[in-house]
Amino acid sequence: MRHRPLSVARLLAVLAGLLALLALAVTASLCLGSTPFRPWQLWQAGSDAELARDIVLNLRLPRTLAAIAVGGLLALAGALQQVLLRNPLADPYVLGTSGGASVGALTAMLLGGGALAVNLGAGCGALAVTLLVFLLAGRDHSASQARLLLTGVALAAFCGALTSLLLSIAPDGLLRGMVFWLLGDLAGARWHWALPLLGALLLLVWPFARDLNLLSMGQQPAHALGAQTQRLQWLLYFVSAAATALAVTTAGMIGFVGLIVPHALRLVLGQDQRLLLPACALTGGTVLLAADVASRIVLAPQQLPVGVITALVGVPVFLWLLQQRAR
Amino acid sequence: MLTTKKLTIARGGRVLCRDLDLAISAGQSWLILGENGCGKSTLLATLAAWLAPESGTLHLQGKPLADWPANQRARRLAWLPQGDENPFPLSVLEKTLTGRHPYLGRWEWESAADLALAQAQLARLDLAGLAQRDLATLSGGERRRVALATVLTQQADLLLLDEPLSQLDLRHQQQALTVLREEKAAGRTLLVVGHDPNHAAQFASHVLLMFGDGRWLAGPVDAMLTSENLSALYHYPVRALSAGGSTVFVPEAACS
Amino acid sequence: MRRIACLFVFAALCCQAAPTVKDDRGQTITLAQPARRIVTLSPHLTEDLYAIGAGNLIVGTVDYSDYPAAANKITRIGGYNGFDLERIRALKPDLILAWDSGNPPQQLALVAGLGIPVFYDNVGKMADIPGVLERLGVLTRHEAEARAAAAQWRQRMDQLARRYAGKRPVRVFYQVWDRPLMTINGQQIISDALRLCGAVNVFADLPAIAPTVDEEAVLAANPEIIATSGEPGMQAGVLARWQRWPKLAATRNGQLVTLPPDLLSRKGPRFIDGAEALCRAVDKARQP
Repeated sequence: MRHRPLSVARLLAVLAGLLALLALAVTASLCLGSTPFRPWQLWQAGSDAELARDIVLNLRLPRTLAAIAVGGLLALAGALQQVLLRNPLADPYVLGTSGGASVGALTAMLLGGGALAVNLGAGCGALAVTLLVFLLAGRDHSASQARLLLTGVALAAFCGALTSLLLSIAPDGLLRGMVFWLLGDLAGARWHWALPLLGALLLLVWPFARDLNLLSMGQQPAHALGAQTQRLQWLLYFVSAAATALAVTTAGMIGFVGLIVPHALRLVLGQDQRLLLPACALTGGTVLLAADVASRIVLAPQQLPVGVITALVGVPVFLWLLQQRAR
Repeated sequence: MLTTKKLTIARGGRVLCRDLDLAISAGQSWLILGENGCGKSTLLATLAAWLAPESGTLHLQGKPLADWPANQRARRLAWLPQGDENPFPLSVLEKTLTGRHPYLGRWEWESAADLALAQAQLARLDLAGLAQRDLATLSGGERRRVALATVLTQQADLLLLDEPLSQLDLRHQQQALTVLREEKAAGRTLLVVGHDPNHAAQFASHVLLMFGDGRWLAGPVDAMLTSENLSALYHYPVRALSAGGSTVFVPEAACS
Repeated sequence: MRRIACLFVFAALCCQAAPTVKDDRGQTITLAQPARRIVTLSPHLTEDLYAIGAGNLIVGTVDYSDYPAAANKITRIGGYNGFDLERIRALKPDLILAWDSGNPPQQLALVAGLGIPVFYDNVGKMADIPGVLERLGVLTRHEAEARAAAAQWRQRMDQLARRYAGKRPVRVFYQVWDRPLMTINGQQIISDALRLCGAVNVFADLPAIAPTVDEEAVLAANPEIIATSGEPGMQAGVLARWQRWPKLAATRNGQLVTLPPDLLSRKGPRFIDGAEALCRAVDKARQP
């Protein structure tokens, strides 16, 4: 696949296209559900209008916004993590942030906490592991990605073991909720924090996108071209950890979006982070939203876990893209 | 341009170069020679402010090197490191354009002039036809030339080049040497790490010999490049042959 | 003559000494003598034995076997979904009561390998429960108490059916779990109770026994009662989410009902208590 250097015009055109796709997904999400209500029924008279209002505005809309926020956060975190580790196969969960969130959330559930306590537990767990990785890996001033990666992977494995432990000692009544949390769920997700913070994090890293282009070529070439590699790495690390923590706290562990969306977009759009980062934020939202719509209507009114849909549909599309590129 | 005083560099507890005093003035071009592992690349990385020296001082244009803001430094000093593995898809032209980074503000975009400059550097190294290709599809020698084109696009006054000619075939080596001569003629200062003393005749005014045990020798080409010095440097007998008015150094075994 | 009489007596003794029943897998279980050391692999099987006066025969049971209070003192051999075979063996039971649709099949295969008679309970319908009591009565030679308990059970079911037969059907959403939002379909045993109460499960037609549904579908179904049972580990106020929808019939009429814990979630003798509580709640929602 050939990549011309990115121009401002192409950047705007691609983002406009992705925005249109997102708008399409939003329309679908507001129109489709387990019941046949449609947004235009809001303006009709009668008791159905009130039910339609409840369903479209109070149920489908918040869920839609949460899906956009979580998908965007995961894809953004994945894109940043891939640059940070200079590994196109890195995903937001590789450095243990999400493992910490799982341990925190499951512990809160085990102690009988409500939804708020679970979110708080997830947030604290993610924060704790993020800081621990920073303290353990950050003392090395050679700033080697291998050390960061190994520290993160080791802590992720540790959190995985703790998660298994929590699941095995949990009473049966709680087990269902715990496994469900691990699969990821948008039904009760709140967008009020996630969506504005997605915007904030994107605005925080986008000005450094050209520096990230350099960093993805390697630390020495980046340094030679005037990038402050160490500071950039910690910016990347904390922004991606914050995005992951926020996503996991909002909707549990939804897989594949953070790995596949940045990678697929890179295959299609090229590596320039000035386009890739906002494109990931938009497309991550679109993809997760589309998966959520599917999870709601395929067996309606029965629900499927959204993470199952992202994997079932995302992986074949991703493999197809890889095949295209190989030709 | 670049001065070092009592510069000592070490790697893994081994002192590679002790108390190096260099005063490289603008327009000079240096060839750095030495055995594998003698510290040539470490020296270059230190001069590029990537590694900190064990001791000693380093000044770029009269100001301590560490005091330069990163992008200001990058406008004056360009560094071509040895390795450049890129795990992501990147076109030749995109890679070359990154050389303009030090000149662009946070919100600026590469201009048409930047693009023209990058394309001109690619053309100088016989890469114009590959501009749209992905780096991953190029050969090692082609990637090396792209990296050199990127350094040239940086338009810095001082070029630190770590084995720019390695992996290049005969024609492209000569072409790259021509480019180095042109850069020298344009007033740039060059520090080039290489393995062939005979390249000195093509562009260098000075030579730095690094013995790998802390000892070093620096000076004009004619004074430094003798068969005794080179034999000592490589721990192998080297003979000087005169051919058509120029001197060629050949290892002993090759002519016996 | 005397010899023949002796034979009769002997035969009677012998047959009485070898209780035989069919379990829910259809296999015939014949014990050499009535069970005296029993391990139960589910809380409701423990309750079954106490209901027929055979609770004192239990030597081992699983976690949450907490009814009646005396059951708390029984030795634990693990949870219903993972138990310790070594301990089961060490207790030297002469009968194991397994929950075929609840215990993990791999574990049951291992239990079967112990060579101890296993009675598999697989209650699917409410009307099956008294039958289990009767058969357990045979195995423990508590036939009389078991028959009485079963008869009383059937009588209470009949009473419910008669009382609510002609009443107006009420739409019910039975919430099994909060997050994920789970309910039951028409085949689940709680739907039997709903039918007795003259109530309609709004999700009776879904294919899965315990489907996950979305709030939207519940709003559209507009149930007149939303009922749930307290469960261990479940937080209080799991029905509070419905307060957000004041136009929902159940919310508007204050019919968000939490039933006593464990009654409807255990397929044991107290299920009828749960059904009666459910019917009272449904009937209350019927009043204008």
